[in-house]
Amino acid sequence: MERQIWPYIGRRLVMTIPVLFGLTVIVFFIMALIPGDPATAILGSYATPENVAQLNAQLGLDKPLVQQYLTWLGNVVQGDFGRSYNQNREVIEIVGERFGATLILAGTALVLCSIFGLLVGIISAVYQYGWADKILTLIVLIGISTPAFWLGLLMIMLFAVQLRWLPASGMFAVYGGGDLPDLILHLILPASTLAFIATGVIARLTRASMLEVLRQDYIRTARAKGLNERRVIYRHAFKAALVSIVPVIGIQAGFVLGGAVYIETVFQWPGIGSMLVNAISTRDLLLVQGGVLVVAAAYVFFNLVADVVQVMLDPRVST
Amino acid sequence: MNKVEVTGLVKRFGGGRTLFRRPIPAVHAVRDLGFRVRPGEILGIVGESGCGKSTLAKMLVGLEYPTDGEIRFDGEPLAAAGHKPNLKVLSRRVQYIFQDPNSSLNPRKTIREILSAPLKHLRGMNAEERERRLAELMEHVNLRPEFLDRYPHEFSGGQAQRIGIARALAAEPDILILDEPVSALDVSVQAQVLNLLKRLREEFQLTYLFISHDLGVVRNFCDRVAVMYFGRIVEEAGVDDLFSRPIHPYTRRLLDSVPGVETRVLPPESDAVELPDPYHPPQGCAFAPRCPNARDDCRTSDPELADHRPEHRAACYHPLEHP
Amino acid sequence: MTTATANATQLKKRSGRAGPLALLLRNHLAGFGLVVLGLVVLTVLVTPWLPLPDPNATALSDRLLPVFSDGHFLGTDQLGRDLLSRILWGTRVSLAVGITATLVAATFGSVIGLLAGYFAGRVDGVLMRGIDMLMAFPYILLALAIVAVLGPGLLNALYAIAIVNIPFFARNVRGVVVTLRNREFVDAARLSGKGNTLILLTEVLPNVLPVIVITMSTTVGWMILETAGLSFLGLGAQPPQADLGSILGEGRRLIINAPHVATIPGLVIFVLVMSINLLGDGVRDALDPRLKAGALLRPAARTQVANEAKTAARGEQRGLLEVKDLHTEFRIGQDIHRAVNGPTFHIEPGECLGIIGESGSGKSVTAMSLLGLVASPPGVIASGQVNYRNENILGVSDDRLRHLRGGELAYIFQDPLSTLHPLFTVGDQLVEAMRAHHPYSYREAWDKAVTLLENVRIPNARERAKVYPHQLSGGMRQRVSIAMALANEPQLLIADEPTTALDVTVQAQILKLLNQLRREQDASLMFITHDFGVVADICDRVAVMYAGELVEVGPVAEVLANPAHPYTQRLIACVPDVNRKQGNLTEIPGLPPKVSDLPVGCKFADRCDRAVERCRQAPIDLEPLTDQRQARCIFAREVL
Repeated sequence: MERQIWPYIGRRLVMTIPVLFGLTVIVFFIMALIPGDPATAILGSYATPENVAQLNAQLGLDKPLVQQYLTWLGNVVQGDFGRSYNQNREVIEIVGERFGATLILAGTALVLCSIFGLLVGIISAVYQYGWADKILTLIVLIGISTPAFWLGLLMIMLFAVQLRWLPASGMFAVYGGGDLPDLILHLILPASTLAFIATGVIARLTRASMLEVLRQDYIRTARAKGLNERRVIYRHAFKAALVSIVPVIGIQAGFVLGGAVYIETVFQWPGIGSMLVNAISTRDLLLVQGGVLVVAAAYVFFNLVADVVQVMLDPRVST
Repeated sequence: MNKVEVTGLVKRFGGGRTLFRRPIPAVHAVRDLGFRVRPGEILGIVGESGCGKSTLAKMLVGLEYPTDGEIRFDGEPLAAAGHKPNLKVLSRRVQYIFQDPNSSLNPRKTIREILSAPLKHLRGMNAEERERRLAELMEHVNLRPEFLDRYPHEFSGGQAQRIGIARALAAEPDILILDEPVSALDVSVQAQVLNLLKRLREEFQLTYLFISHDLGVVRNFCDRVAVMYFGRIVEEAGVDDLFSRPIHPYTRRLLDSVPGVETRVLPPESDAVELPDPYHPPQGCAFAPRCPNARDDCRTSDPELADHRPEHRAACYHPLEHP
Repeated sequence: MTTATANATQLKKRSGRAGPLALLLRNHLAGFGLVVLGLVVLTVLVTPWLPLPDPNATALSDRLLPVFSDGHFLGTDQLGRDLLSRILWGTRVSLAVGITATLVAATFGSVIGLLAGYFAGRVDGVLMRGIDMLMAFPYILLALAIVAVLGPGLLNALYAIAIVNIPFFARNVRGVVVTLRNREFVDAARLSGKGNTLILLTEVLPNVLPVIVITMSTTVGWMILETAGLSFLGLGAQPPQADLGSILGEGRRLIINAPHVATIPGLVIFVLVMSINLLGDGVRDALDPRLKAGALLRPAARTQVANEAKTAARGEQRGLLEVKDLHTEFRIGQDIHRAVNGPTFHIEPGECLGIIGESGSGKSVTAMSLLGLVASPPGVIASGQVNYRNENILGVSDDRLRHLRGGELAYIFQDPLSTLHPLFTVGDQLVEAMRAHHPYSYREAWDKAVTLLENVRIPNARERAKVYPHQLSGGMRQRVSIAMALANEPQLLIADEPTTALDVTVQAQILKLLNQLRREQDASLMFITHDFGVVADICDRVAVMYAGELVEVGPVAEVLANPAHPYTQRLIACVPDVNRKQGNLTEIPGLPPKVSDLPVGCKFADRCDRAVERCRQAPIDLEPLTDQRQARCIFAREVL
């Protein structure tokens, strides 16, 4: 009765195709809905109608929407997201550059908030209503209630401006930086700010699932077998709780990627989030399109990983 | 005319294929089922979990739709061929008593609201008529009228089941489908509910279909019994005849398994037997792998339900001998 | 749910339960949140009438005044605008936008969730795929994309945030509706002539409302944060309109020279959201039925034992295990539910003692109390002794207790699906049971596990050891539970309704097996059941329980043939006989007494047709009738 994991992963990968397809549809048509005319935007308000029409034809904007979409999709599949008319560079180039920075920041934050979230949740559940639980619950609540951008500013004021321990912004020092220690130094403030905000959801869920699991009959069985309490909690209860926590860590990846938008703006981290904010304010729409699509695809992929992990943990889920 | 007549009833769950052409496993919950209930009779349906008795019950009240076959009440089909039944019409004739009395009452509604629903929607009564009828209903099931304004959680299991019975009576049906109505109750309360049901049947000339896994209750409550195994009826007879002289080895096995009985006829079952897999049903008689009488013919074809004695049918090639 | 919690829940239901508001106010943090939020709301409501400068009046001569300046309590910003005034007006905007976004998201999300959950099938498929599509975007990113389309602006930010939150409501509501849909009361409503619309509105919606309220109260703070975030990025409120986020955003470039311009609005957001979240948690706790029932309390490793119950065993104990005057109660709020009221009994070596009673009689709680397995809180063993080898188990150290559990004393529980761990293989769970008591290597233990499975007659044991519990049938699972209980050659097996969840033919097999193995291993068996037939089949002696007390004890054959206590008599008469038709069945009128309010005298008196004045005046003792039999009734001797 061994389960086949690889065919499941294969099928699950196939199932992401319609999701990715849906993403492109949404992203494309959202952009197509935008009022105003890109050609006018590019040429400026002094352009003659003939010039605008000519550029529209050149960009393929006079064709029916569906055809435009298919052309665009064809290009996207080949990695051609168009050119950013603000920076006059290929979108894929800019996004590629920026994406790595976001991945470093969000990845670190996700790892941190998962570790702390699980730890805090377990401690809170085990010492339910004890002083540790009360203090941790309050800290978690503070984390959930704090605006990320404000916390970022406070961190800069304290650690960069007042204490001068850590750099306030950027990913590398302007002069002489560029190595790993430099990156880590720059990463500490933004990553821990992001992680602090994101820990709460995981911690609360872990606490709730642990409490729910600890009430189950099979925990009583474990105790009736004469197992020690540590084994009951860390092996029996935690493994069962993890089944419902893993998908939420997947969702949390989206939260962290989103939160990165604020953090990157505050800490001037050269990631995709700050790029998007700029692109939106300058109405550089192809850049927005490309950025959103890439981040969403990464998120879809991450959720796929979470799903597979869950299936591996829980033999009851049919593959 | 028969009050209830069921012929060739089949219910299949699943089947077909997924988007990726993987076949969805199909389960035949009910396979080629047929029986009749006479007016005023109590027919017991006995079987173990997974034998399809609850699916049968749900089809009789229109909560599930048969894959094939026909159900008739007083000679009229339950629904026009190929159509879903009209519940508003059907529910005035057939009502259902649920197994779990607490789960069948909406926790956020008072008893008055729960009992008023069928009066309003099925019987079209105005407020004044309803008020009178509510009092009557509570009296029928031996509950004090002041209970009407309470919520379900304030009642014990037995009381809640009596409210369930009152709700069914409110529709003024002539057939009641009772799906394990006392199996969630303690024995001391079980008797209260069973006696009440007996009295109501006489008072309102009701016909009952009584589904149960408790052989003691069936023996004492029913007129006739049908034994189900794996989606089919394997034996059907008057209650005394079936219990004292069973024909099908499965019926005998059930009777032997009742805890506390003094005489056991069949040798104890081997430990290795497993119930048939509903996704891969055996070719012949479903009971053959567990049957002490099974021979080759049992494993190749499924026996038909046939008369073995007057008023006593069984589906078996090698029935038990009786002196 | 375990029997113990089920009892506790049921008990809780009967007692007067506190309303949600009372529960909310009892929660100090939530009360604090309510007060703070109330103050904030009140302040921003009266803001238009407060003597404040115009929030948009610029005065370049008064730029960046610090906090507590004359006429500007919180100072001024880079354009000389009064910060206090701006913040109060900004809070108005933030609150209004947050609440509106929540209402919009809740309405659309709940409708989608209701329809998808209720109609299932294709409707569910289409709606939820749409929701999944929304969820496929990282949270803020979708809001950014929407704002990018609609253009920056407060109203657009509101739409974006509302749309992004629709999936939360839709999924939560759908989840609840799916479970409700399968509840029998929905079928019952359908059979009462109600159509789909009516069922959705009058049967399903009232049960979903608490979930909607909980989701709203936990997301409104979130939405305020997110709209402030969009404004902070310059994508929400556009000048001259200002909310807290945009004030903060404008001030962030000044954090070195004039930090108050950015920090104060941030602090206000934090206080506002924090108070809302504190209140939201309180609302959630007050509305969650599981919390009310104590179903979310962490049970301790061992039942709480009062000092009176830790006394050392005195003198020679009777039998292998002796229970003396055991009292176990559930303390829920002000109520004390006395589930077990002083049963005294013993089990001889090699004997099978049946404990029979109806639901709520305390039979399972008695069994669980022996090794401290009653969930605690709320369970407490208040007094009594459980003596094994001249040692009171209730008073032993945790280590000693663990040694006894699953070692010399082993349990078999009722429902084998919920009592085996779903994520470990059957073999692993057996290995674990053995290795908790013996220093076996994993391989050694695994081989022994296979032998154990063979002993409980599981065919193909070597392969079956590798499967998970859900892959086995109910009967096979219960065999695994039995194997686990026998793993360390116990002296006593405590079986709590081990066959109740099984079909009758499977039950017969399991009973046969259990009886056989117990004799082979010469173990004693304590068998908890509600079925006289089962007692007749395998027990030597039987103890009848009613309202937490033993009312009769004696050899099975004698008690069944000639019951001495009226309760036993009537209970036996109630059981329908499979061998003959009885006409009308005997019934016992009335209900057992509430365990939170037990009568002084005989607890069965109110349902007994022989009860006289004396029965109700004082406690009746369990009197010996013969050297083997005891009964708790003043008329008991009449049967002899």
